[in-house]
Amino acid sequence: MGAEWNAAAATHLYRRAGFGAPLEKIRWAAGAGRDAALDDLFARREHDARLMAGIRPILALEDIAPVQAWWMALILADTAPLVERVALMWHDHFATSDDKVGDARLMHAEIELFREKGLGDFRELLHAVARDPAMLVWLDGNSNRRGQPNENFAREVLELFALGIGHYTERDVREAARAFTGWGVDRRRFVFREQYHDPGPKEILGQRGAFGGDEALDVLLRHPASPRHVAHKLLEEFVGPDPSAERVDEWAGILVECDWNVERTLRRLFESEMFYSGAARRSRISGPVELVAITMITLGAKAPPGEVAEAAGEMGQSLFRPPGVKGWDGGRSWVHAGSWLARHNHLTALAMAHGAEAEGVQVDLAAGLGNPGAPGDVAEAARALLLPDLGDGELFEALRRVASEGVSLDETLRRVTALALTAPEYHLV
Amino acid sequence: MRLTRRSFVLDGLRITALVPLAPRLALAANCRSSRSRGERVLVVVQLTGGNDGLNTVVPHRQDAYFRMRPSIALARGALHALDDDHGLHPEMGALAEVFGAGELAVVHGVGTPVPDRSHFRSLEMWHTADPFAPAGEPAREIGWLGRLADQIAGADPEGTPALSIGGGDLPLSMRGERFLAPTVRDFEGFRLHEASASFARERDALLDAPGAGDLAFLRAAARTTYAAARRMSEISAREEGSGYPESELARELKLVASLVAGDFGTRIFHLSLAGFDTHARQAPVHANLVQQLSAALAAFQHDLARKGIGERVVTFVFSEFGRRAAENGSKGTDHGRGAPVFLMGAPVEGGMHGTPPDLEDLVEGDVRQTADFRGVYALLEAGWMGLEPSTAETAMPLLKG
Amino acid sequence: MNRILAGATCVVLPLAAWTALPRAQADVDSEPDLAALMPESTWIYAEGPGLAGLFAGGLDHPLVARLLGSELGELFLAQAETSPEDALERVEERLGRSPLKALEAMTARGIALGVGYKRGEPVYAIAARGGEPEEMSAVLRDALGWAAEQHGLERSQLIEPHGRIRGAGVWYLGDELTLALEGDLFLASNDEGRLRDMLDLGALEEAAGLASRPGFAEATRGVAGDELAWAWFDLAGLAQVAAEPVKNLRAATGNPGLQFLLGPVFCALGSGEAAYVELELDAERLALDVESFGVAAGVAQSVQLPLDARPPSLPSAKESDGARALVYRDLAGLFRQRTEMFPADVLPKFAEATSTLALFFGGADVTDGILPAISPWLGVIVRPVAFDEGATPDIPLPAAAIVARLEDAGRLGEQMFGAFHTLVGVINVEAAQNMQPQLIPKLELVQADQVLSAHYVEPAPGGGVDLRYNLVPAVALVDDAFVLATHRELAKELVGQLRRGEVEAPAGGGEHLSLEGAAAARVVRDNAEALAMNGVLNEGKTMEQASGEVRALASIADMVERLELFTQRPTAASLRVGLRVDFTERGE
Repeated sequence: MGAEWNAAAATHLYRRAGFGAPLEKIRWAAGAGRDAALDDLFARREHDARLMAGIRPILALEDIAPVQAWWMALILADTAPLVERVALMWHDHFATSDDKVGDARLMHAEIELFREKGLGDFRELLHAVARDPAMLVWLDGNSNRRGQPNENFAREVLELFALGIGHYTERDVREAARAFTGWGVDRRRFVFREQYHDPGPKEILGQRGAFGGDEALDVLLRHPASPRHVAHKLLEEFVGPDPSAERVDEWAGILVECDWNVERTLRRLFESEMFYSGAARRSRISGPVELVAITMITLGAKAPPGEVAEAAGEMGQSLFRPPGVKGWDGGRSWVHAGSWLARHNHLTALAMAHGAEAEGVQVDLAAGLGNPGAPGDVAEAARALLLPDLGDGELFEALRRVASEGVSLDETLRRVTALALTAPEYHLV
Repeated sequence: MRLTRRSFVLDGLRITALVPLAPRLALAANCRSSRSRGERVLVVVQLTGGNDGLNTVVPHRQDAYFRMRPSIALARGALHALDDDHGLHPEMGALAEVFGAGELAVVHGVGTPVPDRSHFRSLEMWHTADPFAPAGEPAREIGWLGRLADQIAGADPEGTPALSIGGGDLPLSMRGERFLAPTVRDFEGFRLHEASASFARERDALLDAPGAGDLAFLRAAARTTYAAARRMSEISAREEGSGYPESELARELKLVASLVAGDFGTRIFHLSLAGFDTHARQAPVHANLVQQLSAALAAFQHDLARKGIGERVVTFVFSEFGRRAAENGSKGTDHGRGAPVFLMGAPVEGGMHGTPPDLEDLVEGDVRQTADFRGVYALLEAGWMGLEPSTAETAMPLLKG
Repeated sequence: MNRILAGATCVVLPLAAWTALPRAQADVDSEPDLAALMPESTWIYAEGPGLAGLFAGGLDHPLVARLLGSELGELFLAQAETSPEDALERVEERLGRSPLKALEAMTARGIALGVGYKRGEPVYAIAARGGEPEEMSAVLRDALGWAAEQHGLERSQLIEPHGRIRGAGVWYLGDELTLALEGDLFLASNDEGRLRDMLDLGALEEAAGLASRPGFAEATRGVAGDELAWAWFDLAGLAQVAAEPVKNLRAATGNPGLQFLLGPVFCALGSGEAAYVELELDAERLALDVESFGVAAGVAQSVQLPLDARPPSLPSAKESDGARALVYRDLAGLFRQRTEMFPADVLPKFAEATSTLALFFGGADVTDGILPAISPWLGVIVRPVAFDEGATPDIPLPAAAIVARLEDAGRLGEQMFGAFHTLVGVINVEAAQNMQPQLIPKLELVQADQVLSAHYVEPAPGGGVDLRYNLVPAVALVDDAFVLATHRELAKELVGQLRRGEVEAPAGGGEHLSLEGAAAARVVRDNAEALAMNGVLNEGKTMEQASGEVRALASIADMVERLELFTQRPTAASLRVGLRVDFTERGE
């Protein structure tokens, strides 16, 4: 492991930077080298134009469920994996829920922001998100006026989006709230209502001035805690939980070196030894969306995106509906009795769909696993594709035992795949 | 114009070759967690919409009742007597029998100290047991039953301390800080689908393997899940309760009785019955609902007795507010304040408790609140369940002994 | 989708073949009716006078070629494993003769199917009169020979008759099938006893069997001989032997949902003693008629179509109309009779409905005060409207309106307007709680008539227009005609038509529904993107598949000029339903 570039390393890269890859792609990447794989991931940025255009009638339905299905369709299409991966990350970081916003168009506009600007300059992204109508509605930024500043918005900007806890005081929150007065939403558009703006001088993080909202954001971004907060997010998302303070500082510096450009920073990250180290591999419990997407893309399976989105919801991650301002807590909070049952049943059902007739669902495990010739080859094929880091321990023995139960090749494929997908080892990404 | 979500259909994939688990596997995991056998159970039934207390527990001796409700007042002769002054709605005969057996307590005039006519806000208060928490506070996001579940889960991390029965979202009352109760509509919802009969054996070995960190955590979660699913399937294979009427509430209570009798381990159950927001033409709708409630509760109580677990279960029935004393122009009633709550169970001190409503002494046209709901909670949390209560209110003395 | 295509082909193929053949003259006196060969215990009987023509035709008919060349046909061919020509050729090779010609030979002068029941199991019997006895014999030999090969038997084992009954050669093919051939008469049944009975009946001097059953002649008096197929059902008999499906059919009158949706005639069709169904099909149109006899008296009759009904007139049709209907719904009667008509478990829903309606009428008793004053004849008009600039929905739908005559129109009309106000208010309260746009009421005059409507605030420009902007609800009253429309423009148009006397009195004395194919095709095409996305997101299709299916759907609508459905009540105890589909001209 470590610095060696092989199929396991390629799998690790594709599952983190995108949503996994099917067998031929992994084989190609293993042969073509790390940089070629990175070029592939960073070059694919566009979806089918008709699929993108299809959002227009969907938004007219005023319901979030079809929009959830549409985003899942983009993810499952695997045509712009890095874009969607990063959009999902920002959706969690700048968590906004349709349960309160109640407007599918606004939610879609916010996601489009993450998709368009997610890989660009973070400072630009923050400025744009702060003005995003869905965000303003979500954080009550729409009712923030001189004399009655609403601190909710300012607090979350400081605590969650830009700085993180511990780097500001309550006074900073109040002063920042004053800076944002007058910001609002009118008929789904950002508006600045000058009559509600508090134009007086404010003191935020030790800086004084008659700040408006944008200037306040710039003040925050100049604080050294800012790049560390962003670096922390990137490291948690792409490398592993609880990065050390030194590592966060190091990558904060790199972020600034890259002029806050997320794409360039990520490229460096995916080229670093740290990323391929043993400590980084399979160091996170996979969230539901990434779990279902990685599984489907890896196996080359097809299912109606609406159903896949609902499955992820049943497992605890309903797109556009994070549970609160902090987004999804992730990690161990993904898994408890109810959600493990959902994971188990959905993944088992997917494996069992091989060779069965079902509307819209196509699973060909034989093709997905590289056409193993006989039942005896299935365990190794499943390990190579699904659990490339797995050694010859108990789980692999179990797969081999199941593969030698003496049933048909198709049945062996179903059983071995089901066991592999429902093993806890598979849920570490 | 909100359109409803599609209902989930991946079920269509579960077609061939699904082999049910052999129910008789002796599981190490089963013995490992301290199953809370024989422990006390709390069943909470929420009547959503604001139940009209005055037409449920009718103060028929007060002339004002008939004066203020010319169209919807219930005839004295048809009521089921609870005491000299009050009778139960004519359709609640079954529950009246439970009262006659001394196993139903009626507590008058229960409400929140900060009355609010909004369904959302009132339910929030009852769910969080914190009427005074300001908006945006975390206190508003955790429920009283969830807090109890957290406590139980602290002692038994691999059990399922609370279950929400029925479809729909998890109610706020069931949200804990750590524990998130699963929602189950019926046994099918907790069924485990396996690709092969041999998997159960394989998993037992694999999940028992030593491990560290996240992997160990996942294995433990998986073990809990499989154990719970197997217990569910064992319980469901046994004969279920009989004598229940045909209604969704009755079916759900039947499931609860089976789970308690089968020592599934859950100690807190939440159910709800909706439709009580009777602003217009109240009579037929309310009658239908209270009939369902009464028949289902009575059948549940009989089933518990038959299964020999009557001493272990207390059922608490409440609504987010009562309704105004006078009827409105549409032969219905509007949102009010205080209303009666029911406590049902063999351990309950049956009878009428609290201050009966006085229709000559209303507050803004509503029945006055004479008891704080948190007093009932304190009783149920500490007095019945033996856990830390959510408030410092004095517990109301409603249990035998 | 495949089923639709297969079904469509099964409809089109016979019609195509049928047009190629000159109509057969009915030979009235030469031989007994096939019905006389069926035993009396026959509960379903069908004849296909036009089927021989179907077999004689082929794939070369211009309409078939047009169908196969259309979007629909292309989709079908792309999904089929072999082409129809190849499939027929392969059968011809194995059989030794053209399958279609073989079938034509066997059925040239009629084919009939009878279904009876023995011990709860269905018994089928087929009787066919062919052209030439020798040819029929040869066809049968070839078919049996082929069957023998399929089952690995010697040809000789099957080709010769296994026995004789009354001069007919008889073949016993396992327990499931018995065949007989005598001259130009071919019989088949899955029950040997049945076959014997048929041969016995055939030997009688006088016509007997099913033909002599009382009621059969009356029910089938409409047979002309040029239908494609017709069928007769003994519903009372079937109810006793074939419990489930027929029971459901007969219970339809007790289903409030069906009564409301389909109306009293459709619901009561299955409750008659017997039913007759007739199908005519040619290149220009399809006609399907169903008549039910001996419809039970009882509560259901009280809400039934009146005998000498004179339905009121409706605003005249405009070319752009997508659909028009005149339906008879005695809502007051349904509510009044609910305890007798409907099972106990649905009665609470009635209570709920009246409770909700009362809310809109200020607590008034809807069942006594409002419903009886609304005429049971309700007109429905579906017509596309022009939306306001900037408020054209991204998913545009045609508008719909209900036109109903009111008694005491002055008083009731006011109450309806009041109810509309309340409705708008209720919608707005809920919208406010969910932060959704509000409906703004508007009162306008069309000449001297008031139109009360409500519209949503115009959406912000450039932001897309939601589905809800299809709804601009409106009500109006012109003398005694009350109009409730989903869009103000339609209401205003109808008001104008009513006031100017541009109305049509519908013919037929019963209910009537007509749909324009072009309008349906337009709706499909206008919403092609939305429909395709639904296929992609909810059914897992690819963009190509989904778009192709939407085009096929539009092309099916293109083939229909107009579809009409009507109901009649010929006598107090009989009901009739008819379906007419006019196809578009070739090349359109």
